[in-house]
Amino acid sequence: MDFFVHFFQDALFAAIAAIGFAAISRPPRQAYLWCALIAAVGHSTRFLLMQALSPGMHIVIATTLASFVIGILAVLISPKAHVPAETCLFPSLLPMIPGMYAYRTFGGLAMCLFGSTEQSFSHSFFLFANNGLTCFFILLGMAVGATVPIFLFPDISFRATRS
Amino acid sequence: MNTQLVIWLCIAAFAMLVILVRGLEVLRHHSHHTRQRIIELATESEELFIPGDQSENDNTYNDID
Amino acid sequence: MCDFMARYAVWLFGSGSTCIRLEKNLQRIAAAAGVEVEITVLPRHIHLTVREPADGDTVTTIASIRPLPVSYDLITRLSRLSWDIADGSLPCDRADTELDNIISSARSDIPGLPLLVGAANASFCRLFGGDAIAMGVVFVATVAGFILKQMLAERHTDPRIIVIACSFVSAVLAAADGLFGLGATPAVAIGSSVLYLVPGIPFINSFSDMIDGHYICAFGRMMQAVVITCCLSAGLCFGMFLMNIGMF
Repeated sequence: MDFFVHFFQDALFAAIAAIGFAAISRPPRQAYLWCALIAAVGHSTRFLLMQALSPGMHIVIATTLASFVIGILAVLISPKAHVPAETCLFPSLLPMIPGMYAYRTFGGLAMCLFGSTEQSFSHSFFLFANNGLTCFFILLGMAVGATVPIFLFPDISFRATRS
Repeated sequence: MNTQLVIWLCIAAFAMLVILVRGLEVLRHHSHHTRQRIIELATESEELFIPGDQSENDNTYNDID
Repeated sequence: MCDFMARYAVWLFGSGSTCIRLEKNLQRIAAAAGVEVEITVLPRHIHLTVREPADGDTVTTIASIRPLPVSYDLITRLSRLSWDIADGSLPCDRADTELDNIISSARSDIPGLPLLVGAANASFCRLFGGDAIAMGVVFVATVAGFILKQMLAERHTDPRIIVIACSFVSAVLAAADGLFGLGATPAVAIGSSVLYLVPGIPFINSFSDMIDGHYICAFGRMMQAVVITCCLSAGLCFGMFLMNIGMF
């Protein structure tokens, strides 16, 4: 029961986050709700893959698969909403952007400069490299997973705004 | 009062100032579009209309053919 | 036609479109106009070559990419414009006027945007394990930071300065959670207070362009996103340093 509560909470807050961050990118009005729905499905897919499976899937692989689900949904929904696939797709990916990994990477790099001992430098460099690689591969997995459906269904993706 | 608290209070005051200024900017922008004047000056013909008055814009020439 | 396509490309690319969409839309417009087009996308310029197959005349133009806010509404309307031209419902000689109409009626930010972004960032805080107090603190910090961002952006401040200033203000305000001992997750509050500044769309666009083979454009967008993230880290680190909070 606890797991289901966490699952629905994850979906709900991902939907709210998607609406808020999508609004910064000024999507067309009809895209807001679709972005929320797609983001909720994608983020809870990642939650399921990382928490429900035992052992939990690595964040990079889980993000790639969740992005693929988001990509498929965005491509299928784009003709109905008369918006390009990226309009529903990219804002829906925003809740999964590894923001914390990104700024910890540069924080670690800055701390390398201030480390006086080999141990502190090694620790800072480990933080820089670990966070940096995780961030890079999450973004790569996200982009690959999300854009593969666009190339699998080019007819739908590039004709969605055709009246 | 420790240093962190002082810094926090300064930044919080600055943030409140920013929000206040932004709110005033937004209100001023809105009021520019829907301005209602309380006191206005108009010409006598706009204040008092008597049937038969000719408006300034009427280009009627009494051409009698 | 070359000038029209150059303006169209600048506005479409500047609004945050991927290179592949830009290429497809331009080729669609070119096919409808009976010409051939090749484009080269560089970080700050777009090179366009339009060729008339009938007589072999070639026109090349270089247009500067202007820094525009990301706008999927504009991308949608510009994509629709390319289809209208391709389907013949909009004649090519009226395309320029229609482009002007689309640009001039570009939507500005919605009124309650700072509150919406605040709610979004507070949701992020929850997703990272923050408690209700942390969510409230992050909401307030985000609203204040975002309003500052809007004000500075309207005054055409350099985007890097904007990000440093806003991340600093948000981080210091979010430090209230730990400073006043309000909640149980102060580290999550500070960590998630600046996430609204992370350049998510440039990151995704850069990887998308890389997959499509536009490596120069991908690198340019990646550098732009990395610079903004560095500025975000700088503001956050400075704020945490002043608040005497360790990063790791």
